[in-house]
Amino acid sequence: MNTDTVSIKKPEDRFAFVDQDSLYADEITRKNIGFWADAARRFKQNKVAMFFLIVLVLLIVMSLLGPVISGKDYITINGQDKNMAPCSQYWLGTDNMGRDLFTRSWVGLRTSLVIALVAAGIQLVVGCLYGSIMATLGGIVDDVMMRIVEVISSIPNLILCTLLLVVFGNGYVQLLFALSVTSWTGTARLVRGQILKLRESEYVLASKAMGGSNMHRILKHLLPNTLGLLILELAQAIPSVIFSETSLSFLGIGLMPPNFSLGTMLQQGQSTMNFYPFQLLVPCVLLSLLVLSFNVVGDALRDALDPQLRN
Amino acid sequence: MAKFVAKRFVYMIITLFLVFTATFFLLASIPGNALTMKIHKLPAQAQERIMQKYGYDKPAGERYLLTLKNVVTKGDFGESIAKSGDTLGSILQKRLPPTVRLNIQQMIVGVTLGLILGIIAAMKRAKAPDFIILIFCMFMTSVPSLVIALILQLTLTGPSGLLHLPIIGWPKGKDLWFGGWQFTILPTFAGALFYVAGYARTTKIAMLDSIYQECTTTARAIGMSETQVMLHHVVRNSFIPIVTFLPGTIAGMLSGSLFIERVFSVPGIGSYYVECITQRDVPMVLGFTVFYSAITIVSIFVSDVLYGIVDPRIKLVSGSSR
Repeated sequence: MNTDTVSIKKPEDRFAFVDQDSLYADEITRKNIGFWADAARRFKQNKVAMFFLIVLVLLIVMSLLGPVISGKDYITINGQDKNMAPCSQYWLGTDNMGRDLFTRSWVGLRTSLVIALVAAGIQLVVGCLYGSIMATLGGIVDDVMMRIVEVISSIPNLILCTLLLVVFGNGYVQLLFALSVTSWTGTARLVRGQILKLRESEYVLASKAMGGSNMHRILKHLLPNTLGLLILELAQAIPSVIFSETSLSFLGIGLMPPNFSLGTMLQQGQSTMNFYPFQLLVPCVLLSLLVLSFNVVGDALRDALDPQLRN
Repeated sequence: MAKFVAKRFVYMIITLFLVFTATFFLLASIPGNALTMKIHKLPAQAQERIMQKYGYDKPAGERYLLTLKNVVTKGDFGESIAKSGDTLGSILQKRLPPTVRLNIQQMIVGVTLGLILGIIAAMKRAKAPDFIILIFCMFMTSVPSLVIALILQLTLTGPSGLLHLPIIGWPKGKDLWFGGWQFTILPTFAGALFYVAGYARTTKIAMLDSIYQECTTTARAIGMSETQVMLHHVVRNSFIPIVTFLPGTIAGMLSGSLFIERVFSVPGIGSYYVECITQRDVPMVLGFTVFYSAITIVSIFVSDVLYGIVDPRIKLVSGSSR
């Protein structure tokens, strides 16, 4: 090509400076924000959810500070102060052994909460590992592992829990084990399905085509796309674990004295409910409030994380 | 279809067998059971003889084969070691009617109410009825049915209660299946309210899905009345997700009956099972676990088959297509 024939004019003659702000002034744009920032923004807009998030935080704080505030411990037995109605000394009354109900409620709530959080955590970890192993290996391993899942999930949840508690005895560790053994199957199925779906997706193929490493694909594509689902799974798992735990403790199979949770308190409350309804109402209200706030927050999280509702 | 059903059926049998085996060896690994607790004060010779009578002198493997043989040929899980004379068969005969009646009543009340609320919520979506139903459902899923049962019992029963209903108990004699409503109404509602919420939600979501489908628009366009559109297109299409919800309901009711029966002292199998568990009555626990699992597995099987009937679009190909 002959460069001499090309005449070059001064650029100023043909081009003019343009102010970018005025050029795009009439275009409505939003600041480009990431998925998580967007989800958080939408969650904050949900006033009901924010209210229950505050309730939840309050419950958690009180389960830690409640016993300190009242200045009483939960095991001291006062023979002369049995079955008292709420008064200035015992803010929520006492139970049939003269123990401060206010303190006991918060400690029971703490037990239920800790069990729920740990069991839900175990469920998530085991489910994730199991599900991803199923999805990655495939073939006969997948088939066999899926059969195992089907067998476990075909036994009703509470029945299997009671069976395991009979075999292994009562206590925190055994209860956690029994609760987690039954619950992870759903998570495993979910993770397996999600990974199988993602593996077929075009952006994973594109990442492969562009030479992305396996690690990169897992960290950048598989994990973030599964994380939302897992958060929701966690939000659903916690109430259901709380529910199972209280039912078992209520039936007298879960925790044994001196350990206690809200379920054990419900059982004690029921035996005296016609004379001292307070002993039943307090754990009832706390339990319902706890599950309600977890459910509302979980629902709001689902709405916030659902990409289809993005606008 | 026949092939699919046969395949699912074989899986069902295998699963039951596995449940039986796993439960048996789990229970065999407990060091003590009801029998050892009962006889530990007797002289050694008598102890030995009693162990022999119930077959506990043999190693676990041999006992397993023996029990398996009895179960397969006679459906016999062995005699209770806590209450002599009780077998799974005799207990089911005696205690199944209250549980079955309670569950049927819960199902009728729960599913009907749930469907109605769900349909109302979907038809009046984003209006006042929808919000009221939404709040109600949120409340009902959040308050555990155990708490609902206890609160109902606290407020409505007894001489000081609002309705003067009996606190506990269950109709006997000729009222066993029908009648004696004052006993059954509270347990029924305590168990049913949880399902109301679940079904209302599922129905609403399913209906909203089908309301926006093309067949619905077409039906409106050719001049079908709103009722016809709702009945023939929307409600019918919404049955698919509802059918998938059923086995969960049945399994949930079985677990739910454990504590509902406990709260209201219903003489059903749930309360008996809890007794067996606390007494470590090995043969009965084994029998009940297999029994409960069988019901769940059969209901999953039935819902799989129903799934194919309700929705002809679903091809029944592989076993794990659920």
